[in-house]
Amino acid sequence: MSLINRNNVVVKGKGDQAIMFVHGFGCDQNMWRFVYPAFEENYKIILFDQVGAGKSDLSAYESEKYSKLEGYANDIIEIAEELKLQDIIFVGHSVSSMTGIIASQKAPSLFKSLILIGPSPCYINDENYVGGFTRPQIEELLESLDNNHLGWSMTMAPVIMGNPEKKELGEELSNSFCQTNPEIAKQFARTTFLSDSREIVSQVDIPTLILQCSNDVIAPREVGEYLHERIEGSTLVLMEATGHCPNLSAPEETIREIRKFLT
Amino acid sequence: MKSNNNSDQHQLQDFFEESLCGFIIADAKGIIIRGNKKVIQWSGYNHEELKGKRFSDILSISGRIYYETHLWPLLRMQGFFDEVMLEIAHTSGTKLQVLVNASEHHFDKDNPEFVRFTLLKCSDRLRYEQNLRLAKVETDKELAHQKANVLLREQLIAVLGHDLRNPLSSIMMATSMLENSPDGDNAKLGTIIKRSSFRMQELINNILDFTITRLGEGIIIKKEKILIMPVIEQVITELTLSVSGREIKLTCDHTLQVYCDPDRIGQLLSNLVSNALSHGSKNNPVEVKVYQRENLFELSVINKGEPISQESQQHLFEPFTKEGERPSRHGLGLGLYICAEIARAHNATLTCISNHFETRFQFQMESKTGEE
Repeated sequence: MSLINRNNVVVKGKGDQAIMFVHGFGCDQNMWRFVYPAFEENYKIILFDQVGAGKSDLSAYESEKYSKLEGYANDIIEIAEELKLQDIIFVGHSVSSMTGIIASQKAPSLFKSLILIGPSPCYINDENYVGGFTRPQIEELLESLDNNHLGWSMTMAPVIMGNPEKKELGEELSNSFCQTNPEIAKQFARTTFLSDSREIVSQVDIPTLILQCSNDVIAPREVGEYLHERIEGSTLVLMEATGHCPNLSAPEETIREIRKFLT
Repeated sequence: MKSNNNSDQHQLQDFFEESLCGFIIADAKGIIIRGNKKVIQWSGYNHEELKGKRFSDILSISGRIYYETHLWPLLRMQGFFDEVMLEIAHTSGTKLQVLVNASEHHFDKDNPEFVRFTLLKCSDRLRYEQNLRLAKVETDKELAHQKANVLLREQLIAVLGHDLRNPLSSIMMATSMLENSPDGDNAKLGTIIKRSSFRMQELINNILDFTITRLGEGIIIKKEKILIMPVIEQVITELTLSVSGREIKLTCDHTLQVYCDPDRIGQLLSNLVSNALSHGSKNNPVEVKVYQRENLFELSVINKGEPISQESQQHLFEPFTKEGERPSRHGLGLGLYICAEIARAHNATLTCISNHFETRFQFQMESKTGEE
């Protein structure tokens, strides 16, 4: 059962068909708070926090293991096996889209389809490939993380207080979401922004939906199109939602597209 | 009325535009609708260029990623974020650090209507913080270095003290033979050397005990149930031999059994009696009283003479304490510190009462007539 605690795994919903929502870099399973309730009636919903995020067990964090996306992919497989899941619909946000692809290739029997929100196989431009960032930009990012410049891996705890306008976020929740351990956030950023999964994406052979946002600085449109080309039979949807987190900015549109894909 | 309204409007406009902090209004998706003069000055974009950009477009690369992956989610979930340091990237390539507060404005519960951002320049503050952080790193380094030095020095003292014991015991053995010499002068010299060696041994033992406590181990005791009388008598005999012509009066029940470390209690008594002999009045005997009262074992060493000053009493049990005004031949001032450590190891107390009537050091330990 320690696995369940390690990743703060939460299982909800009335259905049998498993749908697993996996958050990316930044925040935790709260990322899905506006999306998953739409699926509770007909699906078995699996939510969890990546090790280092939210209410996961911070002591389970190993720099070596999580320096590669494969470390996170292994966790996904372990959770699926622990819960005895099969034919999972995998919904990954941001970097976890790639983690999901890695997991689906390591354990093909576990996954039925992939829904990738704001995916990017490589963030750095490379010859004809457009990733959205130049290498010096990513280096600047990593350097600023190392210097703790801007305090951007700061613990969010002091920021988070009662929210009069959103009463549904009780005390308990408001103290934990988006809380980031500075050291782990730093390493997760490194793992994420230096990752290059371009070689494996063409091997995806299960139904795949790519949800591409408009005006996403983290994963620009070219990246979505690149993935659509490489993943045979994939569906690419260019969303009206802007930014990198349609699951928060445009939950209705996100739910609608996922439903359309699943029926 | 109408002109009044216009002038209010104008004042608000002026306040927004000319304010000393940056203001941005963005739509619910985070797309900038309007920024004031400060934002234009800091970003290098004009009003028209600013309009339609995402807030993150005016930030440096790391700020942009931080905003999109952490702050925007936070804003959507809790409706605001406060005091976050971000960096505005000016079109010319320079950067400016700002503190940002942001808040969603809601007309109904679920749908934000627009988002307000307030930006305050804080580059000087950042430099100050960076200096503090650097200074802390330097101080930590220096502290670690000094700690290592201190440890090394204490280890050196421990080793030195330990190694001095062997040659000293040879000296003491040879001295005993000298004392028994038929030659009267030699025997006299032998006694003097023996006394000094004895004293030296005491000092070395104290230093060793001191370094042990300093190295974090604390004094380790081995408790056993013993008759206390022989332990006390042995110490008194040794001290009487080394300080001739002084009387030590003992009150002790010879059947009394105590659960303690006999060597350490002997050492404690020896330290206390030595102190009493050298600091107390030379015309009165030193008294040693040993009692068992109900559940309390008590060992007291009493001398007459000048009381210890109030000031000295406060620091009596600290290491390297010397009796300020009085001339001392008592070396390092570790004796009472060691005594206190021995008491602590026994879960006992060691206290001092000193007045014109007497000076009394009292060791008190909970003990049920010799039981644990």
